[in-house]
Amino acid sequence: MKRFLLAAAVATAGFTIAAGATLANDAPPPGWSWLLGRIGEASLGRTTAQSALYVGAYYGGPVPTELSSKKIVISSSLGNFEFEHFPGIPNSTLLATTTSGQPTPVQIGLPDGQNLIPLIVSGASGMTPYLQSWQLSGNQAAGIGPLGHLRLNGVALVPTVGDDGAVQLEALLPDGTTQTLVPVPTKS
Amino acid sequence: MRRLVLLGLLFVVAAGGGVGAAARLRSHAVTWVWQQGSGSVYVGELAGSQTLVLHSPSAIDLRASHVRTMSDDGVWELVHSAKTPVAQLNAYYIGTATRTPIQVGAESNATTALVVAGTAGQKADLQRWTLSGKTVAAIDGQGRLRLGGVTLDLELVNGRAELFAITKSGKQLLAAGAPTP
Repeated sequence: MKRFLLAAAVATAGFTIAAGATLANDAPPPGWSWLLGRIGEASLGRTTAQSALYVGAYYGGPVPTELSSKKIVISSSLGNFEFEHFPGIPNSTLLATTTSGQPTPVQIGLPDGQNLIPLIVSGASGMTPYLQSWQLSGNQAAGIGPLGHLRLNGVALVPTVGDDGAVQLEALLPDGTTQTLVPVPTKS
Repeated sequence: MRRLVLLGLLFVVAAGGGVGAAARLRSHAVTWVWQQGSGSVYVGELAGSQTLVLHSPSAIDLRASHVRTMSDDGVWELVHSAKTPVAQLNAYYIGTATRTPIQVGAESNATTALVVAGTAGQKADLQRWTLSGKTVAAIDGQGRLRLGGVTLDLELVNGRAELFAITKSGKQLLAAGAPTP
C-alpha cells in the first residue's frame, strides 16, 4: 500500500509539473498583457505600452488575417479608419470579390431614404495632384483636377460665368493653354 | 536503487502525459495551431496557412477610439457571398441607424485621395452614381462622363479641343475650341 501511494504521488507530481511548465510557456512575452498565438505569427493580444488590441502578425510578413461573419461592424469613436501599407506600395487597394474570387463593385451608400452625401473625396487646397483619378491599366483616363475641374483625356472643362451672367465653357489643355469652347450649330 | 529507477521512469511517463494534456488544452482540433472560442464563434490560427481567422455566424464588432489596419501588400479584400451583387461600405453614428458620409482623404493631404482603377478596353463603367438603383451618371469604361443617356467626350483634334455628345443616335460635335481672347 505504501509503495502504491508513493508511486501515485510521484506520477501526480510528474504530470502536474510537466503540464504546468507547458502551460506556463503560454505566459505573455514582455510588452504584452496577454497574447494568443506567437508574436510574428497569427496572433491576437493586448500590448501593455499602448493598451491596444493587436490583431495579426505584429512584425508583418506573410500572415493573412481573415474576418468572416454575416456582418462586420468596425466602430471608431473618432471616425478615423486608417489603411496602412509598406512604403514601396503606392496606395491601399480595396477589392470586392465573391467567395469564388469573382470581382464585384464596392458600393458606398444606400437607397434607404436618408438625406446625406454618401461619399466625399477630400484634399488640401493648393495641391497639385488630382483629387480623384479614374485609371485604365494604370493610365489616367479621367479625373477631378486639383482645382476641382473635370478632366477628360487630360483636358479640363472649366465653366466660367461672365459679367453678363452668361456661362462659357473653356478647355484647359495639358500644355496650360486655354480655348473657349464655342457651340457648333446643329445641322437642320 | 531499483525502486528509485522505477519511480524515475514513472515520473517521466507521467510528465509526458502532462505535456500531452496541456497541448490538447491549447488546440481543440488537429486543424488549428491554436484556437479560442466555441464551435461557431472563434479566433485562431489555421494549421499550415499562417492565417489568423476570426469567425462569427452573426456579427464581428471591432471598436476603438482609433482603428488602424495594416496590410503589408496594401490590399484589403472584401469577400462576400455570390448572392449579393456588391460589397457595401456605409458609415453610421455608433449604435444608430443614422448614416453619415464616408470621406476619403483628408483636408490636409496633398495626394490623390481616391483612384478608381480598371483595365483598358473594359466594357463596364469605372464608376456609377445611382439613385434608388438607377444609374444617373457614370465614368464609363473609356473614361468618358455619361450624364443620363448622354456621354460627353472631350478630344484634342489637331490641337483643338472638341466636345462631343454621344447618344444612341450617334456622335454630335457640341462645341469646338477657339483661342481664348
